[in-house]
Amino acid sequence: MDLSLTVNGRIVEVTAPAMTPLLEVLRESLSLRGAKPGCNEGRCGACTVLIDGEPIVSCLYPIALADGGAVRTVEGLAAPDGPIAPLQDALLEHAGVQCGACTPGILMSLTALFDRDPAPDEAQIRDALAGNPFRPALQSRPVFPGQQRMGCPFRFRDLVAVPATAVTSFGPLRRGAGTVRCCGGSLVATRAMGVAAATSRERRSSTRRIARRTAGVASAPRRA
Amino acid sequence: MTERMIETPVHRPTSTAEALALLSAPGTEVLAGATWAMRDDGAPPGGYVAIASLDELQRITHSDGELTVGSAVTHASLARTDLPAAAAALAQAAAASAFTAIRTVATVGGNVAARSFAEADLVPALIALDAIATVASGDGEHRLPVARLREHGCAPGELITHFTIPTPAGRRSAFQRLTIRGGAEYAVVSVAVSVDLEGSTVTSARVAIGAAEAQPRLCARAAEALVGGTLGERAPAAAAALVAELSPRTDHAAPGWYRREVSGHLLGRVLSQLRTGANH
Repeated sequence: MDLSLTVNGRIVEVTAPAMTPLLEVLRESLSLRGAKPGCNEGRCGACTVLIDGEPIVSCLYPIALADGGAVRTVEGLAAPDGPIAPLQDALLEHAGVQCGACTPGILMSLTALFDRDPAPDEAQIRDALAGNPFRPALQSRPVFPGQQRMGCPFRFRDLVAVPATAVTSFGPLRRGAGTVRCCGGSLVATRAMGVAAATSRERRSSTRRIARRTAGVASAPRRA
Repeated sequence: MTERMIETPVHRPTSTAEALALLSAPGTEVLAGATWAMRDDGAPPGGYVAIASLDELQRITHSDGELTVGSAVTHASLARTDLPAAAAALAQAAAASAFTAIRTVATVGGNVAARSFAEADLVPALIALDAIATVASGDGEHRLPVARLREHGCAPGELITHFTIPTPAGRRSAFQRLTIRGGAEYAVVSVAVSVDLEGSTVTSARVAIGAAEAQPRLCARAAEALVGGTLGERAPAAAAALVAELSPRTDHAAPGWYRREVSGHLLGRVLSQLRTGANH
């Protein structure tokens, strides 16, 4: 079907099968690779984007429902030539960005929160991040009410080691001339989460697709 | 994503009447927030009829001792609505369910219609609140209790339009769920209780359990055990009755014995919440 939606303030026309996940359209048709395919079943939060200001998991959102809507992704948080958003700055400052797989989802969940309430309390921050259970980037930092630091149930050792040979530039997270190092994006997200065995064909092929895109990782990991 | 699913059309009516007309075509199915449909491998040959954006189905109204909740009301909308005490369990279930990005789109009608979703949080709340579903089709509409709707499902061409919940004076309700790690995952057991009080004496009660068995349901013996005393006095007997009444299921999240073991404690928490007004 033919659709028209606003993405990061720009009107885009898209032709896609009606039940295509918004995530796929963002990544494949619009080349916005910030939102990540993690579990592909609405559990990990790596694909969180905003639609009409509200956070949604874009892997479970059919493009047909996005027709006429306003989508905001991590790429829209800062202008391409402008400074990064305060929230992005805060995550960088507190070393809250590691491989980068979970970061865009976390940023969008928190953006929705801070847009609604500029001074949320600890309970609100925890609630806003409940949909981003995979968040090694935030490790076990305590929550400081009123500050943009968040708690995390995962420790770094919970991550599955993946060759950290790929250096991916995340546009909006660029700071000066440097780039944020990424150790394989969603590949890490999917494995570290310990998501139940991926038995379905589409999930296996999704992992292969991700692996192919990830420079430095020769082949897809075998999952039970 | 299967090829079949990708080619499935999505019809977008602008009124409930148009939705019902579209649903009268063979092989069509209702699409609400899509969080369940997008994880389903099957696809209706006639396509989906999208109803989540229909204003008529998004209303919450309260008058004359009756609360009406449209089937396309989202969990997020329910969670931020100040419902009467008699229906508080529904708002609590919506607020505790999943997480913000799911609650934004997932609807009350979808929660009920996903009959294979044992952990659906709103269903035990609706059952404990004696909610009646109104189901419309091209031939008119009929009303039936939520537990019966879960049992039989909608027939082809039918659309759940709204739920009505009685809110008599003196009725209070509460909901709690238990997860293994806390946070946004599915509940291993959820409990919703609605009681009518005269002073502090329970005159009638409804106890519903979710996630423990394949379908959320009323637990009649636990409810009977609550009647005739105060919530504090009757809590131990009600918990014992609930534990005895269950046939819990075992899955990857928890073994049956665990669900049985914790269900009585969870009921205790709900009763304590009803007694003190505190949310534990």
